This record gives sequence, structure tokens and C-alpha cells, in this order.
Amino acid sequence: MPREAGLPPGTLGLLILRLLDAGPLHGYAIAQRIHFLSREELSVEEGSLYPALQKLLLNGWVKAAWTTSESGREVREYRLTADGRKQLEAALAAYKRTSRAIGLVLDNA
Amino acid sequence: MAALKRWARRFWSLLNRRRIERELEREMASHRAMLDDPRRFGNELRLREQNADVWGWTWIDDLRQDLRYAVRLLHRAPAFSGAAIATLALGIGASTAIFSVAYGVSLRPLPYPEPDRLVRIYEANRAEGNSKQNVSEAQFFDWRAGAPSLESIALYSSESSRPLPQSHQRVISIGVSPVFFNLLGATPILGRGFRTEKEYGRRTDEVLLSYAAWQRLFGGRPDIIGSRIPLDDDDFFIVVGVMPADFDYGPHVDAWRAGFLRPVTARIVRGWRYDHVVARLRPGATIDQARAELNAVAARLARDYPPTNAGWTVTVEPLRATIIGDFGRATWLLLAAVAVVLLVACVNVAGLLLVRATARERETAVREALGAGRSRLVRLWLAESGVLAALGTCLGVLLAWLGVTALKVAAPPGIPRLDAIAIDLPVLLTSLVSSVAATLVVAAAPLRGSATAQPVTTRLQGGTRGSETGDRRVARDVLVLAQCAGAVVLVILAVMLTRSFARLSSFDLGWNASGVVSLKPEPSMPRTRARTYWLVNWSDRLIAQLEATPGVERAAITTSIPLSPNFFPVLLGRGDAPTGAARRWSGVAHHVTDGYFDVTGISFIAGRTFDSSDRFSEALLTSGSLTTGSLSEGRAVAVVSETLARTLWPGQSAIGQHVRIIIGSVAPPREVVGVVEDLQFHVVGEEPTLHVFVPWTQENIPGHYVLAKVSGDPVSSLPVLRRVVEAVEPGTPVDQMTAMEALVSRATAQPRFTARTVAAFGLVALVLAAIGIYGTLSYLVGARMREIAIRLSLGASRSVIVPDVLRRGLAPVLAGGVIGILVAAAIARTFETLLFQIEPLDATSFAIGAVLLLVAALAAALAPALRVLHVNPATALRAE
Repeated sequence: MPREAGLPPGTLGLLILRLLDAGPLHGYAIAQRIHFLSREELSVEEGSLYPALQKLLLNGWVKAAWTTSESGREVREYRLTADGRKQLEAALAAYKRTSRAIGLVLDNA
Repeated sequence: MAALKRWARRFWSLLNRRRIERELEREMASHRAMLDDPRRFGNELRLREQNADVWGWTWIDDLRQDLRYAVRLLHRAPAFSGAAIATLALGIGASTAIFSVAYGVSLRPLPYPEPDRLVRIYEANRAEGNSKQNVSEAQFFDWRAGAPSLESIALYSSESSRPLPQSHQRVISIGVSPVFFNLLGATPILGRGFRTEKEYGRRTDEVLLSYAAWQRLFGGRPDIIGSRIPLDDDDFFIVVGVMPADFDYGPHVDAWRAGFLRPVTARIVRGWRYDHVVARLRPGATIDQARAELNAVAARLARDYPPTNAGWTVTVEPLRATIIGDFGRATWLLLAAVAVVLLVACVNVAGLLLVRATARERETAVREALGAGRSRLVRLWLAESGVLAALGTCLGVLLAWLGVTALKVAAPPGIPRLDAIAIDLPVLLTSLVSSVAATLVVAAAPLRGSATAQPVTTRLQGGTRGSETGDRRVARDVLVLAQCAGAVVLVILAVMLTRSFARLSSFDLGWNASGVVSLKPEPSMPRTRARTYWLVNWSDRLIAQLEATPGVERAAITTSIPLSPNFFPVLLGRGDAPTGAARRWSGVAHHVTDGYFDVTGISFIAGRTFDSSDRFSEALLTSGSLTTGSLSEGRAVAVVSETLARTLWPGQSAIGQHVRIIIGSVAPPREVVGVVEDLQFHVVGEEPTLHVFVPWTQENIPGHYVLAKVSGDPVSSLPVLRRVVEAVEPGTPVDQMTAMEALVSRATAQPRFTARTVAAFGLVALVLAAIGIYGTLSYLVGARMREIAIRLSLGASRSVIVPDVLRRGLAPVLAGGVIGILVAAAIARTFETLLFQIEPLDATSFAIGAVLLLVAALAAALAPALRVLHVNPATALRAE
């Protein structure tokens, strides 16, 4: 069983937004990308992924639409909205600031 | 903003819940299909639940479940829910209905722009006990010049009524300053308003029609603008405009004449106080400023014109106060009564719920033991009382609607602004607020109980068997106490008002209304000095014809009938005092024919009535010497009322004295030939006014009434009498036909209305309190059944136990009664003005209120207490 190792609460939304910034993706692809890009360190369970996606929908940061994938499957693709892009920038800045701060403390203590 | 969007999306999701769930399903299926091993897909059920959490559906589901459960519970206890819903419906319905009346009458803004700046101005003479006298035109022009805090000020006359030629329709009109409509902020819907005074010369011949008159008299013809209609004597007026339908300033007027343009000093007498004044304050000016300025003017006038103005000051009050009048205070009383009923109703339902909460202790404990959170239990209670309150509110609003419809039908005439009463948004909002408040009050009771409950394990073991916790008993006692206090306050007030009304209606008016009818004929008469004699001649013929009519016992002519707004105010002086600096009194003059005192049954204390010896010759009547005060022949006589006689000649006999009736010009001193008992003439319950009666054959004025005492049914005699009057002088219009008894009952209608309504509320509160006492006491007996059974089986006598049960039940009733009496005593003073010949601390009313509560409480307590007599200890012990 893949674990959701070391993913601090709330960061899943940020990861999804960042992935969608590069282009629309469906749920499975998002999970795959996170797994792949984290060098298989992170793996997102469906039970976390879909509620996170619904939360983004609720906030109006992403939009969803049904399309046919390259492999000919019916998939639901998520796309970043203008609000979502703004949110991504804000969240990214906040995340970087925090992580730098944590890094500083850890390095210099 | 973002939060708002989120809520909008949540709401949208609720409506599209099915679709969202289907999409999720499809999406998961598609996801699963892409996995190498579909079994690796996570827990679908949990995923769906989490999804519902995100969209906030879980909360809604829980609520729905709670509501369903609450409805099921209430359904299972129909007696309880029926009682609770009916109680709440009664309380909310009554409060909504009465609030809609109070709002329509007293609180809704007047239909004019910036109505708070509108004021009415009166002349006042404190020494004569006259705080709101009509205004003399002459004073008006001085006020207009001397009160800078008034933006504008307008004079208007009393109503006058003229028949339209070639029709039986009449037009009621008043003269107004041209600025009148600008001042109020009203504009015509058709034609134009009056021009400014500068554009007119000395006089104008323009009128504005009311919308109703336009429809009724002219069929709503738009070409009415510019046409001529007769209104005042033989003058014609030109219609320049029509006012909108919702323009309704005070009396029901058909037309407004542009008048009161500039002072014609020579002709205006300062003592002629017949007109009315309305004014608009400058923005920022206060009513006190205006009052101070006007009183400064009045003080100057009192110095300059002592005979007519000494002692006269000015009263200024908001227009609203004038329009609402005394009804405002009655309204507040009704509102207070209704608030108490609502409170008693809520308390009652709270008591019922509390009893249920105790009975369901075990169920709650089981729920808690199974892991229900406190908040979930609270929500369950809120849902239950919410359902009760919602049903109660719906029924209550329905009741209110019925009530308002009934009120509008049953309301006595003279309630101002009745049309403005409706169940509309502000009213519905109020009932919504009272409903929410009711829910909270009602729900708070059991919540409080469960918050202080013992540990779950104790309660699971004890259940309903154990004796109840002290806290809850205190809460229930307090509720019973509050109900009884509220009920006793209402009952005492109701008894006081009812007693006051009984006094009012059995009060001796000083005249007899039964079998007396009045008609107002308007014969066309000469406009010269010959008119006085013509009227004498006409009245002789008319009275002879009337008294020859079968069924008519006696007939008379008078210039004023009781309880009608038209009367003839005069100043009175002693005939032996020199004119000028002499003391004057305000009074009312009546010009009457010989039969007047027979018809009205006004009884003589001393002296005689008028007879043929008081007649003046035609020569004297047409010579005009009456107005110069020099009589060459005959004696000018008068009959005066008791109080007048006592006031003008204290300690002396009035017969043979002379009274001077000052109606602007010089008048002859009149010899008093008779003294009659005081009469209630303007308002039922008024202080005695000074009345003077003058023989119609010596002096008369047009605008008179015919009174007849008939032996049969007064109302059915009216058409006959009308035909007789019309026959005496063909072409005479006759209107205002009334039976005097109807006038009397109309005059007492408002106090009767208030007394009955409050009495009804008192009764409702009493019944509610009794239900509450019965409910709690029955429960109490039920809960103590085990204990009672044990005591009985151990040999305790029932005659010991029954009083014990009663004592426990009635202790809070007595405490509540005492508190209620204290509260009633504290607030009774506020309603003093509504009481007639009843002291605010009327011992009888308080005693009756207390006794009624005790009787109701005993009746309610008896049934449960007597149940103890029929208890079989063995059965009772086994039942648990």
C-alpha cells in the first residue's frame, strides 16, 4: 500500500493547483503526477484526492469538464480558473515563506 | 465576497446534489478503470461521505433527520403537540393581529414627506381648562408673522356641506390656505395645485377635489378640470385639480377651497376661534422652539387685546398625536396585554416540554451512552421546539389574518387610519421574531434541565423512577409562577377596564337618547335680515306637521346635537359686569325651540322652559336691533346648565340673573329663566361644560337639526320624517339622519372595544395558566405515584396526601398571584386616563383578579390531586 508520507495538512490543494497550472488534468493523472514527481515518495489516496478536488470546486478555484482522454477513456478534467491562479500564487508565496523560515530554524538552531 | 460565492455554490450544490453525486460516481469508476488493480481503490463509501461533508450536505442531512425525528415524536404525542401548537398559535396569532393594528394606527409613518416636522397648533386657555381650542384667523396671521421656526403654516376651516344643484348629492368642503398642500407635501394627480398666495388677489374661486368625490360626483371625468361647481352659499368654484386617492387628511372631505389669503383686519374678530392650524417646522427646528415663539406672540396679543386674548396661550403638538389621539394609549395597553399572553403561552409550552424532558430522561441518557454528542442532543431539542414553533407560527399568522379581518369589521368607527391596518412585511417580521424568540424560550427550558443532569450511569439506572432533580423542580415552579403572575396582571386590568366601561355606559348623560332621532334639513332661505323670521316661520310649520304625524310625540329644532362634532363655542360673561375687563368663560350655545327640553328629556332644576311669551315680533327680528344689543320690546331670555349657574353666580340663585353670550359682536344680556341639569354633550365621560340655551324664536342660525321623539322604532321612522320635512318646504335636502341611541353607542364604542379585547386576553391568559397548572400538577402526581403508593401501603391516610399534593402544586400559584398583584399595582397608574370613575388601585378589581386566579388554579389542581384518591397502591407499585 502506498503511503501518504509526509504531506502536511492543506498542502494537497496547493500541489493540485500547481499541477493544474501546467495544464488540465483528470483525477487519476493528478495522483499519478504527484507520485511520479515526488519520486514515488508521495502517493495520494483517492479518499483524500477527491474531497480535496471538491473543496477546490467549492472555492471556485478549479472547473471540471468531461472529455475523452488520449487513450479514449471518458475522464473528468480539472482546469485552473482565474481565481485559482490567484490562489495558487498566494499559497505558493505563503508556502515558500514558511518553508524557508522552518529551514532557517532547522539549519541554525 | 469569496465567502458569499462559496455559500452560493453550496446552495447550488444542494439543488444539484444528485448530479454531483452521479458525476463523482462516474469519475471514480473512470479512475478505477485506469488502475492496474481496481481493488486498490480506496473506500468508496467514506469518499462519498467526505464529499458530502465538503459540500455541507451532512449538516442538512442531520437537520432533516432531526426534523423527521421531531415530527415523529410530536406525532406520537398528539395531545401534547396539539396543546403546545394551539397555545403558541394563540399567542403568536394574537400578538400579530394586535401588533398589526398598533403598527397601522400608531407606528406606521404618516403618508407625508418628513412627517415628523408636521405639527398642529391650537389656542389654549388654561384657566378655563381648555388646552386645545380652535384658532381665530386673526391670531393665525400674527403667528405666521412671528414664528421663524415654522417653515410654513396653514389655516383651514371646519367642514361645510352644500348640495349640488339638480342632485341629491352633497359636497363637504373646507377652506384652506393655498399653501396647505405644499406644506403637507401632497400634489394632485390631475390638474394643478393651488398657486402661491401672491398670485391670487384678495380671494380665489378655485377648488381641489378628493379622488373619492371626483369618482362619486363626477364619474371620474377627466374634463372636470376647469368646470364650475357650487360650494359655498351661492358662489361657484372652479375645479383646478384632483388629489390622489391616498391623500386623506383627517376628516372625509370632498373638496378643498383656496381661502385665507390675507388678513382683512376690520372683519376678523379675535374671539372667533373656529378654524384649525397645521404647520411644518423648519429642518432642525424643534417643537419647543415653535412653542416658545408662538407663546411669545400670544403673550403680546394678550397685552394688546385683553378682552379676547387675556389668558390665551398656544398648544403645539405633533400632527401624529392629533391623528392618533387617545387611541395611541389604548393601543399600547393592548400591545402590553398581548405581550403578556405571548409570554404566558411560551412559558406554558416550555413547562410542557420540561415535563416531557423529565419523562424522557432515560431516552436521553441512552442516546448519550451510545455516543450522541451534547450538541447533537441540543439540536434535537431545538428541532423539536422549532417544529412546534413553526407550526404554531403558521397557524398563528392564519389566526392573525382572521383576527385582523374580524377586527376591521368589528372595530368601532373613529379608530384612526383603519385602512392602514394590514398584515404586511413589518408585521410578519415581528411575528417571525416572536416565533424565533418563542422557540428559544421554549427550548431553553429542557436544555437547562439536561445541562445540569447527573452522570449518564445514574440516569440510566434511575430513569423516570427516581425523584426528579431539584433544579428542574425549581424551573417548573418558576414557570408556573410566571404564568400565574402574567395571568393575574391581565385579569386585574381586564376587570378594571370592564368595570370602568360599565360605569361609562350606565353613566347619566343628562339627556335621553332612546326613541329620539335627528335629521339635518337645509331649506333654501333668504340671505337677508329676513332670514331669522323666515326660519321661525318655517320651524313653526315644520314642528306642527311633524307633531301631527302618527308616531311622533314631540319635535324640536336645535343648532347642535349631542356627541356630534358640530357645536357652537361662545364666550360667556355676567350681564351685570361692565363689558371689557370682565371675566369670561368658554361655553357652548344652543339655539332651540320650545319642545327641545321635552324631546331630549333634559330636566329642569329651577325655572321654566321657553314658551310663546318669549317670541319676538317679526319687526324686531328683522330690525337687527338684537345685534346692537338694544331691545325696544320683549325680554331676551336664556336657560343655563347647572354648572354654568354655579360658576357665574356662586352661592346665588341664577334665575333672574343676566348672562351675556359673546359671539364676536355685541349681544343683549339675557335673563336666565331656567336652570337644567348638566349634560354630557361632546364626549361621553367629559367634565361638565357650560351650556346656555337660547330661544330659537329670538335668535337663530342656519345649520340646524330637527329632533323628534318617536314612539315606535326610531330607525324605521326616519324615511317618514324625511318626507314630512321635504313636504314643508319642497326641494329641501335632508341628510345626517340618525337615531340618537346609535350615536351614544358609537361614542362609547372605543372604550367598549378596548375593555372587551383586554377582557378576552385576560380570559385567554387565565385559561392558559390553568392548563399550565393542570399539566404540571398531573405530571407531578404521576411522578410521585410510586412514593404515594408506598406511603399509602404503609398506612398513610389519603386525607393527608391530597392536601400535600395540592400544597406542592399551589405554592407557586400563590407566589405568582402576589407578584402579579404587585406588578398590576405598579403599572395601573399608566392606564389611569383610560379609566372612568375607577381608581387605578381599585380594590374590587384586584380582589376579583386574585379570586379568579385562585378558582382557576384550584379547578386545574383538583383533578390531578383527586387522582390520588383512586390510586391502588399495589397496581401503582407494579406499574414501574
